[in-house]
Amino acid sequence: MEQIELTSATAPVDELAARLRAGDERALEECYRRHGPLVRSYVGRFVPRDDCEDIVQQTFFELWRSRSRLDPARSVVAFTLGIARNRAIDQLRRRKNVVVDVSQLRDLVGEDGEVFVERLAWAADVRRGLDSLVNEQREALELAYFEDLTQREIADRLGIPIGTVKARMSRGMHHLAERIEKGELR
Amino acid sequence: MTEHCSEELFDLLSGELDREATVRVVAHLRECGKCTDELVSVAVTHGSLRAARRAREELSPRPDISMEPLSVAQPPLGISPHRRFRRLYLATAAALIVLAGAGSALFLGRPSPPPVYALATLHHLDAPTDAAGRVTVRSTSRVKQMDVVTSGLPPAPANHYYEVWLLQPQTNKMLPVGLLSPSGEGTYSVAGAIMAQYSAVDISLQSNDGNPVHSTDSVLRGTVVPTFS
Repeated sequence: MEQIELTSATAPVDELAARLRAGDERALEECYRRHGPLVRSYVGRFVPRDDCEDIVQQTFFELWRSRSRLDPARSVVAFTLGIARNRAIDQLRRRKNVVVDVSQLRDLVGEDGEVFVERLAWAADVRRGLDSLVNEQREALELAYFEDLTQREIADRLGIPIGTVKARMSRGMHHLAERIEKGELR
Repeated sequence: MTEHCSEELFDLLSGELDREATVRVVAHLRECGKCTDELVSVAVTHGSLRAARRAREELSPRPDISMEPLSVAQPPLGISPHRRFRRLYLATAAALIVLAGAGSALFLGRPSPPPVYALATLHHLDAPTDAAGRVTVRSTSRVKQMDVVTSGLPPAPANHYYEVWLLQPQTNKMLPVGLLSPSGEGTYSVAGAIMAQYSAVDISLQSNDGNPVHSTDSVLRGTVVPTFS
């Protein structure tokens, strides 16, 4: 039977920023668990592997120290990536003879670097919104958007009628749009 | 009014409708406020998910960042002036660039590996406390490539081997993906839709007794964390 209820649609707005501002150490742990892999992947694009983990640690340490500047209305991941970006730039300035792909550096410095961080943050928030859908809807949308399957291929893969795939995707997209519109993904 | 078309809106945006269906859906949208509202929702989600997909691909790991000095000196360039970067980039697509040094750096135009889809840190279970591991899952179009690197595991006893498994902890559903090499590493390919059904990686010590079932002797285990979760 198709599951219609959406667990996330009625979930409260993410309060991670507010909890961090209040000094909740568990919020920092949650932030590290939620965003650490993304920060590590982002930093790893620009700095040598040996420096990467140090910068990740510095980033979350600085996030904790600067938690009073967190705006609850702004995405925590965007704020965190902004810190990581600054630390990566500092690190590259300090190191000698670092060899970096110039096209990737455009994603780190200046205006392009800021835009890249915002884009990654938005992508992370959208992905989190997707993950919060009920499994049937999330699975159908993941297969369509991240595995490049057509609806017919999804139906074959899951062993369900194509009409069911369409219904799951339609409901999932509707619920995700609601969360985006309400500003819940941050 | 013709029949509502909410379940065809994804097809419309994805170019999967034929001419007849497109005309029918558009005609309905012109007269149906409910489906037009739905189209807005679908368009917002469609664009957002496409952006998420594109960003993940953009976050593919960089070509190797070398610490070796260049043999051919290149003009020094600071890291900060954005416009200078842009001009340099446009002028020299394959330029060499120096960072923060007195004049030695290199642009390496190697193809990037597939983007990182997920990561896992493996922690010891029934293994020496310094045993650990790292799993990097990279995403190609429909296949996940899983790179496993371990350290601190003792050599498997005689007539035993280490095996890598995907695990769904909630149900204990397990899928063997291959043997760990004696060097403690391995690379495995798994269909994306199958990989999505598991959330952890487990390494077991197996007896070479012909029994393909998990030995229950797990030595390392870790949760797979998507890079955008």
